[in-house]
Amino acid sequence: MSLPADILPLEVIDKTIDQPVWIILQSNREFTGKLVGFDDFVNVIIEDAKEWIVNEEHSELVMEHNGRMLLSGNNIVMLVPGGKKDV
Amino acid sequence: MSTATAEPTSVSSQFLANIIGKPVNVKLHSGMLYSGKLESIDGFMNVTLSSTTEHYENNDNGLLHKYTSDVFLRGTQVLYISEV
Repeated sequence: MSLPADILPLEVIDKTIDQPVWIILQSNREFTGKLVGFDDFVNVIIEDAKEWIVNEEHSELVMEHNGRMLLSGNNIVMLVPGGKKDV
Repeated sequence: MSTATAEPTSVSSQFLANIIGKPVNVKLHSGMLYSGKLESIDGFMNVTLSSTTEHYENNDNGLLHKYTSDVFLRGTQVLYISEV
């Protein structure tokens, strides 16, 4: 089976660079911030990140980070371009 | 250079070249947060810190430990490294 790869998955992430992104991990932890860069492992660099722990009812802000953060791709499940709208 | 096609360590090395010697927060998967001066790092995200303090989740939570010597954190356990 051949893939008519109009847009590769990583191109979607590439287009998100310099834009807000919402990153969801395997645990109940999430990050929002501006996407600065990423690599083939989807290790990610985000700027001015907010770190959340999400429960059924609400998101608890754990920490606000100033500057850049290197977030390990190991536990990343999903990246949402545009960020988290409801916060 | 396109970040998308960069080799695995390049995003980290580009970032890390700038933050070596600066104060950082390093969080592990367990939620333990280590704050100190970044002495060195490698492509596995192994990290050494000096003047390290240990807190749970947030620096506002109580100080759990203060390490006078350098501290090595294993890359497999590292969730993130953040500038302070």
